[in-house]
Amino acid sequence: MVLLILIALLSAFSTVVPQGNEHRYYLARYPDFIARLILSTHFHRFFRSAMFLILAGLFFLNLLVCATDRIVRRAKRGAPRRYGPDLIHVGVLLLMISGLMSLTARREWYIRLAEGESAQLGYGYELFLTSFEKKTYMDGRPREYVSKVALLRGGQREKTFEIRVNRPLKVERMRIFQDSYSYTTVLSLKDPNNTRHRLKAGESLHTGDGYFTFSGILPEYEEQILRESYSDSAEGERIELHDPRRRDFLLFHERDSGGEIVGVRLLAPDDSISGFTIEGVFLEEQSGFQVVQDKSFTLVLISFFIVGGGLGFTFLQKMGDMKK
Amino acid sequence: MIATAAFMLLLLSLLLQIVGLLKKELFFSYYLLLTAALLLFTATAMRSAVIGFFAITNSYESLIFYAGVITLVLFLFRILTKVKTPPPVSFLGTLVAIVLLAVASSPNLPKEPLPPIPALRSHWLVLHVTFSFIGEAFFVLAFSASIYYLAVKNDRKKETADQLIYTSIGIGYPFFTVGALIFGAIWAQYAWGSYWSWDPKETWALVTWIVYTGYLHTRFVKRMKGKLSAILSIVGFCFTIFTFFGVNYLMSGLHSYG
Repeated sequence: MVLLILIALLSAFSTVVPQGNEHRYYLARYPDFIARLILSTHFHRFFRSAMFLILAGLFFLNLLVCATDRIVRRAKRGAPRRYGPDLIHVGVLLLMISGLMSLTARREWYIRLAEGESAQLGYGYELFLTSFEKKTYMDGRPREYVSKVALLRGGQREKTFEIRVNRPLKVERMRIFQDSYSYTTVLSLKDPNNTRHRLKAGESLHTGDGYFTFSGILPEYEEQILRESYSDSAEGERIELHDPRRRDFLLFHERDSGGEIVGVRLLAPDDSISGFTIEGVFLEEQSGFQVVQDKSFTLVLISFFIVGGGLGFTFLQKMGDMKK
Repeated sequence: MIATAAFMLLLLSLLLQIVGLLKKELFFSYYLLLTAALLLFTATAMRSAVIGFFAITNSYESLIFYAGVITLVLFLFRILTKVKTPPPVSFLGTLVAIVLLAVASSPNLPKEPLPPIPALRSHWLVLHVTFSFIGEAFFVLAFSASIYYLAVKNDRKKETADQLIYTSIGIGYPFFTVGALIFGAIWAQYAWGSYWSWDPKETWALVTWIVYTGYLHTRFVKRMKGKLSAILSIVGFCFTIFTFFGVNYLMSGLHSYG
């Protein structure tokens, strides 16, 4: 009981300290002594900290001993069969094991795909985005995000599916969730041979003696440009960025073959860089997916089932007692 | 409009209950509770028809539903059960429902019936919220009985109050466990890909659950009754309120839906 009270108190207290931020956040927000105390005890990641894990471990052992002792003692005494509390204890123990499994073995990563793009998932699968649709209510609020995807294996289409919020796709041990959507800036460039290239923000193109990276739109212009572009574009279409005042808003980093930065340039459409001419700038819609690999969920469901059964049993037994 | 009518009926019931406490008990006041509950459920049903989804997806709608369940539970425990709720307990419970509806009427809470955003369009969410509030409605009764327990001197009255606290937590606890923790976790798994994220609301719901688990555990194992049990029940109720309001307005997290 003391352990439970301690876990409850510390858990409640942890909600007062914002969790999971960088060290500098706590140093800036709290007095030095408090910040150092938070960081040294890992209270900023409380539920992964040794403090919490040790307490949870002790509670697990405690519950395990109590549950076993209770079952054995009652069996020896030939006491009335009251399985409810035992089931609840077993369910909670399994839940804690699931939690530990999830903590140690869970993997999650994020994918962003534009229509027509694909990404490797693992287990030989590839996720191909056929279309992405944002449905809205009359007042413009979001109603549904629908990503129509195809699951490819060895280049062959195995399955098509509509991933929606609350409706993930299950592939082997992975679940793919509709996570977000965003726009990314894409450049259309023409090389000296008149061959066209697409370059997304963050991507690079090799030149003779190095490469250059398109680092995106300057942050101070980004919002304004997006707003201007949205205002006269139909939703769902690829949006061309306008640049009526010829602002230089496209940021490039030029690097040598060793990766050292040799130049930072701000350019606008029709300018050239390392022999490539910028033909156009587009905003492209991307659907964001969260891919989760967590073996523990089946065990969690089993635990829930056992806890639920235990609660039901206990409830019925107590109702029976009250009638007597 | 319907919720306002329910609020007025609850106020009337409260006044009649005061008369009952001072003079002769008027059973009519409890039927007003039933009428108010039905009106609140009607309000929920009508909003649901408008938004095309069960109307419990924002604070206002949740409070209407919560107040409806509380008043229904108060009525059932006063009129239909073998051990009748003492009038002061019904009075306190009615007061809690009125306060919740008063909060719902606050200009800070948006009342326009709006269909839910994608993350909230889930049947698991409906189960999560309804079961949680049904459980918490019983905790309101336990809270009222606990205050009554601490206020009265008479042993028989204390015994009745203690029995009422135990019964209402005994019923509310499975609903709360299944609703807040189990259905909530399943919904979270479908919506966010993680059944437990240690979001402030989840953490406080767990802390609340630990308090009521503590109550039942001390009752079953240690046979603990009396003042300490009543205090535990009051603490548990305060935590349910903090989980609902405090976390919404003081902390940010995955449950910040207004």
